[in-house]
Amino acid sequence: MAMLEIDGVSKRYGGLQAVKDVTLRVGKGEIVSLIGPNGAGKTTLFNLITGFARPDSGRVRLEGEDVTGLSPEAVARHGMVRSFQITNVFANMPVIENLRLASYLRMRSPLLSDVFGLRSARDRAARTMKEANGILDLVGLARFRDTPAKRLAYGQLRLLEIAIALCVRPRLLLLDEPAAGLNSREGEKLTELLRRLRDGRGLTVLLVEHDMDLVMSVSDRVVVLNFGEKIAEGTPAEVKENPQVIEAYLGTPFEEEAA
Amino acid sequence: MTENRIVLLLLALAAVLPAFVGDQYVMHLLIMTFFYAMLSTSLNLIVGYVGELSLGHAAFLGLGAYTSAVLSTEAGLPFWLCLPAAGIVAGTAALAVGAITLRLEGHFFVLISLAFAEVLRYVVMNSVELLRGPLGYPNIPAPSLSFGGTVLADFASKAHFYYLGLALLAATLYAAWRFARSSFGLGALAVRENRRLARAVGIDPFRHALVAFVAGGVLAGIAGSFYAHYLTFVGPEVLGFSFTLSALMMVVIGGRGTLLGPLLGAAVVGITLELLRSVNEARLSIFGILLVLAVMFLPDGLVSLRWRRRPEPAEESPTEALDSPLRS
Amino acid sequence: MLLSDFLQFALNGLVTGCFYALTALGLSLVFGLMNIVNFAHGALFVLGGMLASVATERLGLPLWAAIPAVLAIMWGLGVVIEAGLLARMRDAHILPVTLVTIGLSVFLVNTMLMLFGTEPKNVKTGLEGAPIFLGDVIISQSRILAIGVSVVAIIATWLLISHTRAGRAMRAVFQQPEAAALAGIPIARIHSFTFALGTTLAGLAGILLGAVFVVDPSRAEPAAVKAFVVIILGGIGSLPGAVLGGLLLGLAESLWGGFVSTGYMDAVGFVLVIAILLFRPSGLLGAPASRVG
Repeated sequence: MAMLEIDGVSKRYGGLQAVKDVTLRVGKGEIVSLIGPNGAGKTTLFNLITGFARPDSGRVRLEGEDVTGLSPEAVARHGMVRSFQITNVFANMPVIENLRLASYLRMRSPLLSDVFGLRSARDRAARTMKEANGILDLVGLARFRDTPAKRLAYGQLRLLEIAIALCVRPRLLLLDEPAAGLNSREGEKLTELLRRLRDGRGLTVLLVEHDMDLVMSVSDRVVVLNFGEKIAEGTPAEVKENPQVIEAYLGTPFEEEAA
Repeated sequence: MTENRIVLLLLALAAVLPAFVGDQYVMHLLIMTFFYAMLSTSLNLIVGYVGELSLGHAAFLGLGAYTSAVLSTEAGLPFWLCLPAAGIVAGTAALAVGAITLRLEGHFFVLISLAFAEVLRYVVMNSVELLRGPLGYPNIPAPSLSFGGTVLADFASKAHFYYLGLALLAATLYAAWRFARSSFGLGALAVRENRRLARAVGIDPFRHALVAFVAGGVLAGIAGSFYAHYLTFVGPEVLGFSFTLSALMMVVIGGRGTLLGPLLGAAVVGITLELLRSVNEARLSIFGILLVLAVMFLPDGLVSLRWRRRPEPAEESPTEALDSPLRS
Repeated sequence: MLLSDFLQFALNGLVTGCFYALTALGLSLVFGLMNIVNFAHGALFVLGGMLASVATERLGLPLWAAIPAVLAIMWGLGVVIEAGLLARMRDAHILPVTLVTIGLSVFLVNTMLMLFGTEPKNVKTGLEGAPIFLGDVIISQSRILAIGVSVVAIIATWLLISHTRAGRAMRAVFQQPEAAALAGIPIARIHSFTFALGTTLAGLAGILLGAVFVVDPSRAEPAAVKAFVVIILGGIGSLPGAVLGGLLLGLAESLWGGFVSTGYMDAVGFVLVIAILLFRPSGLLGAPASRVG
């Protein structure tokens, strides 16, 4: 069974058909990239999948379970966790506190046992903390454990976002332009991190990305959107050669626009 | 010294204070300060921890006070039963109101919360037959504490009320502290800090706001019960906006989202109003200015003077996090 | 129930509705554009009436001279409040901003009490002539004046917003703050202009209230709350909604008070608001109130 199945999803905002009858599948353990020119509907599609917007029609299934139209928090609880295009962290809090908040779902215990500080709740809190530290090591932010998030450099913020998402223990991770604003070396590190998440943790990743180096090197498959419609799908190599895709990027040579 | 220790120290100081203060008027002011500290602590749960501006908090205070007034004067129930009943009634009302209003966007919530409280006030004011309307309930009996036929405390003196108020305040603070430290408090904090991200990691803002709202309602109801039995009179004005306003000022001036803040706020606002008595006519005008200045220049309240975040280090950006660990 | 009673109550309601519409219009501008829950709006409303009372009763100015003078003062006061307080808190949380307006309101109301006392004040109109009969319905000359001035003010505000450069900039900020900033619209000046306009409209409503009935500082808080009720009824962000909501609330209260019970008259608005938010959260003419993200 596929990890994520999107079936004929559409969304219209006033006169604008933002997403039109998009169908796509993401297999377990795959990294799939969603690309397309600006305004192609990629972020809208993300919002539709994760409950931040409600599709006009179509279904979204996560491992066969229908999650269409659920609230964002319910979607997250089903194991589908997203990051945002614009950096989004708990800015006033230290890095580790960010992760503690993100681990909240697993830390939560029955209200009363928690309020009365029972041992089970405390044990759970200790375990969560340990795991958060592990995730910090994994993404490489261990050194900034106690740094307030707003004091991190841009590239580190993007990593923190991924770490936050990982704390929810997702089955499927959706990343909205994780490489935006990263320099090329940071981009390579991100590629490496994504591969490790897939290979080491068996995580499935769907990402929206403009950085074609990243897309081409990390993706198992690439899906291309234009004007809200899916116009192509395939391996990175296939998509690169697809005439429709080249056309969509304004006829300019693909690499140039993408860079 | 941590915040918790300061709170404990203040409570301990308050416990020994009556040994040195005999003046009845000062005792009265202190008892009212306990009451306001309870009220603002209860409001702080929703305003400080969840970040929703509720302007209808007096409704829960008033419901608690009226519950106590009606049960003790009409049904003759003792204070010790009226008190929990007041909490339950106010909490139930908070559940109903919160379930309807907390789904609304912030600015709407502000106004609708006020609307509910005002409607309640009009209803009470106009139901002369059922709730005595503007007449209110006089002669609410004082509590009494007896054990096996021996009366331990008859609450004829202010000192008894003083310790009752202090005990209730301590219990309120303990409840608030427990709430803030629970995972529920943590979730509420996440919602306050970044609502979108909180939702993306699976935290339901509505549910958290509702729990805080109900907890705040229960505590406000209990404060209302204490108020009713201490002042022996309850009228529609306990449902009025001015109680909400006072509590709100105390929360913000003290420091919202902290345990110590409402406590400090209640003390400081109370003392300031007392000091301004000498300039009687201009008292509230000056108070208005002080409120504006306090909010503008000390937006995080008095507690931020002590717990101001450590000075920001110079802009040396922590370098190259991406470097090390992925290398393995 | 008699038709003439109904018409008389409706007419009275229309007069009150004009006050509501004017106050709500000013508040709606400030609320919609600057995102401020301005509790001082009611105090500013009363202040307008108080100043006009001083101008006409004590200084003996004729009404036609007093109105522009008071409005000019209100405008200036609006600019000062915006620059001194609100502009410094533009990105602050709703809580401190609301509290600042509450503090301002406490200050204004109590200072007025100190200066003018608790006694209700009247604005002298010079229109002490006999009331006018329209069939069985009676209307005083000052009420006709109030309705007339309100209509003129509402039309003037509408022209200002739809036909001037400042108005267009206001609408742009209203609808798309980010885009407006990118397009180089001076947001700071627009905020100043908007708040001054809101303050002036509140002041005008206060003047008219004083001309028809009386004003006193105790009316400040209920007036602010009523104005909020009106903009929720009409729909937040909708200026026609504010006017319509004001007129409807005036009518509803007057008819309720006339035919049912005067006790609950002031609760009518709240009940309407609760009903509206439960069944049509967007108000009569507005955008949805529930949260999106």
